[in-house]
Amino acid sequence: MLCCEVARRFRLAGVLRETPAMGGSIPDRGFAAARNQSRIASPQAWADTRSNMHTGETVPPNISPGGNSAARSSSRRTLLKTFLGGGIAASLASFLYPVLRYLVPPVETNLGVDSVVAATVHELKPNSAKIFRFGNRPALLIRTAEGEYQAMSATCTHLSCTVQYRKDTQQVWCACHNGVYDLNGRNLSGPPPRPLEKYQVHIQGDEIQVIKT
Amino acid sequence: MNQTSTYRLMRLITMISTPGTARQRELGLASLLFLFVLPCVSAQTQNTCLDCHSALDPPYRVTADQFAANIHAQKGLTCASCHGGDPTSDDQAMSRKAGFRGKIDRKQIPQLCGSCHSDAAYIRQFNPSLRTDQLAQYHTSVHGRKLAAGDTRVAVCTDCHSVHDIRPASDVHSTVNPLNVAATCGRCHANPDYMKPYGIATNQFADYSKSVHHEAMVVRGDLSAPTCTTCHGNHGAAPPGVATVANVCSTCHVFQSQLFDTGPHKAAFASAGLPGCVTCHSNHLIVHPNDQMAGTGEHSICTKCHSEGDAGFQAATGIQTHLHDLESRIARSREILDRAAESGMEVSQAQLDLIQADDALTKARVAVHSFRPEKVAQETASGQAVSEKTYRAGLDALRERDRRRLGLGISLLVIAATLIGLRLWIREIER
Amino acid sequence: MSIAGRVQNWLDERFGWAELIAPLKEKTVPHHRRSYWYFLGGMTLFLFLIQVMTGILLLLYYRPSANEAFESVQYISTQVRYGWLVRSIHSWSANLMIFTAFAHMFSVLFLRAYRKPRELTWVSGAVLLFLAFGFGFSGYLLPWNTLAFFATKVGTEVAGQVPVIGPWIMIFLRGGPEVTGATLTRFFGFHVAVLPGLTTVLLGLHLALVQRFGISVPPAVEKQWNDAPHERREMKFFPNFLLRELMAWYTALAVLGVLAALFPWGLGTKADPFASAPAGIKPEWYFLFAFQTLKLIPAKVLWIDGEVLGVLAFGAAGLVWLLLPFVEPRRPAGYRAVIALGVFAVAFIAAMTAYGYLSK
Repeated sequence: MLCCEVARRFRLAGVLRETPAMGGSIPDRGFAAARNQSRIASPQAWADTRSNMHTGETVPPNISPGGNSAARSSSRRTLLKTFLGGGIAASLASFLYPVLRYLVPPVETNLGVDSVVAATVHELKPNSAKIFRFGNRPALLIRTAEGEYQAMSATCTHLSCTVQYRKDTQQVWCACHNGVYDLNGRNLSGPPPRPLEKYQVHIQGDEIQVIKT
Repeated sequence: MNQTSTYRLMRLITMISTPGTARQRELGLASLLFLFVLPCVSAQTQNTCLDCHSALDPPYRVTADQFAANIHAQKGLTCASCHGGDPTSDDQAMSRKAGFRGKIDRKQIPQLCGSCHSDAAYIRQFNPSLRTDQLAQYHTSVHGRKLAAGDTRVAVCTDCHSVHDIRPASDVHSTVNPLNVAATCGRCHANPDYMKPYGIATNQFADYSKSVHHEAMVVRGDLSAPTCTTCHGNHGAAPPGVATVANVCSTCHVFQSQLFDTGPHKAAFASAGLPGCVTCHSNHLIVHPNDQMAGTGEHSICTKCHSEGDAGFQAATGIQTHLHDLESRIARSREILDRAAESGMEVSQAQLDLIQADDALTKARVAVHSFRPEKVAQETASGQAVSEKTYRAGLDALRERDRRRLGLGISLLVIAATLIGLRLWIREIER
Repeated sequence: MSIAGRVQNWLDERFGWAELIAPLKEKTVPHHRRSYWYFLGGMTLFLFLIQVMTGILLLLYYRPSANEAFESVQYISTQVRYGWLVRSIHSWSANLMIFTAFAHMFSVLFLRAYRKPRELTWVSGAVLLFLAFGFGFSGYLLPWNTLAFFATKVGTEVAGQVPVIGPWIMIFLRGGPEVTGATLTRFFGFHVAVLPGLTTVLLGLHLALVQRFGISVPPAVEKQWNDAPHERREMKFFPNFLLRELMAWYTALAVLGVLAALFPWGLGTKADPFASAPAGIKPEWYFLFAFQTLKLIPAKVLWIDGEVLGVLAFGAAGLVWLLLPFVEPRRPAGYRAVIALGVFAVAFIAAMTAYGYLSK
């Protein structure tokens, strides 16, 4: 696909010029060839074409059948230059814009794998709890009646329902099948076979940080 | 060494040095070594019985290792504690005068064990929290009653607890450790030839091994999962009756039994003489329940009694509809969220919220035991709301993804324009 | 004077700019029926530069520890603005780059551009290909998902099959006897420091050699031009060939954008070292032919362990490939052997890759 397109352009553009013959086994030395090249146009269809092998500087060709076409080609050239320049600028902008947005760090820098800020210090009253998100699973932060904090996974070890804190019994309870855990996450009664995974709680300033042990 | 040890040593040396059978010399050497291993052992734990019995062939064989694993030996008891005799002396070891009883008659085993294990004051010296009502319970059990009637083929203490290497139940190698109980019961109860005279089924062990309770214990490692003794009792082993088996299940499955009690089946089953729980879930082959059990499909249990047109059939249909509806909604939400996540969209909060719908479905499945569709619907309602919310979140995420594709389209246009521009420019400078 | 002219003047006064770029201004590219193959080298270079740029961007957020690697890639894909784009482009461009590297290499082989005096260009290119494999293998592990974890496990185990030094190689690669977080850290070091350093040096050498000897012309065309010098065609590199190359590069960008937006690179599931390998573990497609071949070799061939034989065979093949210009038979039609080898290699790789995909 690409090569056909390019080949076609090759044919259209007709970028051909002569160089003297090079010996069969002498290596092509890119710039050596260039120095030896003849700048005389070939006796072919492009005889009248001034070889304008410049690096893009606008030199109007000498083949002017009339000043009109020279002016037209000059204005076309300018138009093309503007179009191309604009296109390149727009494309660069469309590449640069996402990169610049990318470089700005998002608000939340915590990946939530090892530690998470679960709540603020004044958020929970004694003998109450909060379900918060830890990574991709729910977790439970309890403020006991004595005012201490306990944190543990909120995924019941029986069939993965989300447990809750019960103020009346001051225990952790799973409403699905009546599993009961104590405030250290130990399974007391009901179907749960294992304790809830316990997390560490650190209070840093105003924030309550919960850390996976 | 004390006097008795010296005497014994002298005897042994005499035994070894006198010409006699190779076996005698062997025994002598063995005991000599044993002596040197325990030179200052106190008279109480001296166990000459093992000197001979460790080298005998079964059924007389009791090795020192076997006996060392025995909880009784660890507490300082000897062979003579049960078998009588004088363990400190070679001569008097099996002397009737010294109280030797020989092999204990099966009918007397429970009494023998109970002579210590029913004595609370005595057991308190060793383990104050150990129960002492085993013998009393045993007398109420089927095994105990049959033994009293003269049948010695039934289980006595040693059949379950093993004889000489009795380990506490907490020991993983013990025959009465929860992991091993079913196999211990199955030694008789799964043996069709042995059980022929009793005319009861022998497929319980095979069924139990396929059950979800067995899986909970062995695969998921939950030692509190039920085994034979949990429902049948251990010392007072007897099958729970038709009328009372539901009480057994309800010790763990509290919610289900509460709902069952409020439902229409309790009275119906009682009058039909059908056991609660077991009628639908079986007693030993309790498999993992699935939604197809409730409802009216191919695998339905309801249709065993209910037929099309009656109230039960309609209730069953209603219940299954609610469950199936919530399950398919959850699956739909999960699918769309997974698709969005694979496309790189951020949907983790919605995925977390969807867990609540899973919880609702779990609770709805418990509510099935009320056998009323309204109660099931109560639980599924919240699940449906969550599923809806998460589904919409998934749709939003996919819309955002499509917006990205629009952005891509724009940049493609720009690139196309640049390509055209380049091509024209090339043509221009090369004309 | 225009701004461009003034800048050029300024540079010229301080760096001798005009003299520096004079040779580049004269650089030419031969034009003939097969010269569109010449784009492949530049395309590979362009895709490599894309990798460097997107890689540096990913470096800003990626965390190379077993605990956080997966989540950091998830974070990039979902939280960072346009992170999904950067990450998907990086993954897709890696695959495209290896493909164009293969295509470039085989085009050089079939057009016989490796002939004297360009042997070292070929050798440096072969080493660059192996470095690209190293990039692919080390980079694949970095997201720390299940597929990558087990692919690395299998791949390093195969490396461990080399006789004598194999186990040491495996431990060196893994940073220990097993694939762990230590492996991740090590692969990260390879991927962002060691391999880029080596590649920069070799790429510089490769490009310098190309610059030194110019672009090679296939023998048939060379003969034709020797016989009829007036038919020789050369295109100027600046600006003509470069403009065309720019078009190719823009097209590549468009392709990458489409791939990233329509077929975003998935995350997978976080690797769990203690879980068992999922069924049907396969390495990335560019290793698949080797993997499939190893699977097909019987467990024991004569007295040699099958896998060891396979590894040694591939090692030998790699060595022959590296020194291809020097192993070409010197007799007049000796090149036919190399062409035949090339055809066989393409067919073998294609067939084994297809087989690897179709088999379970």
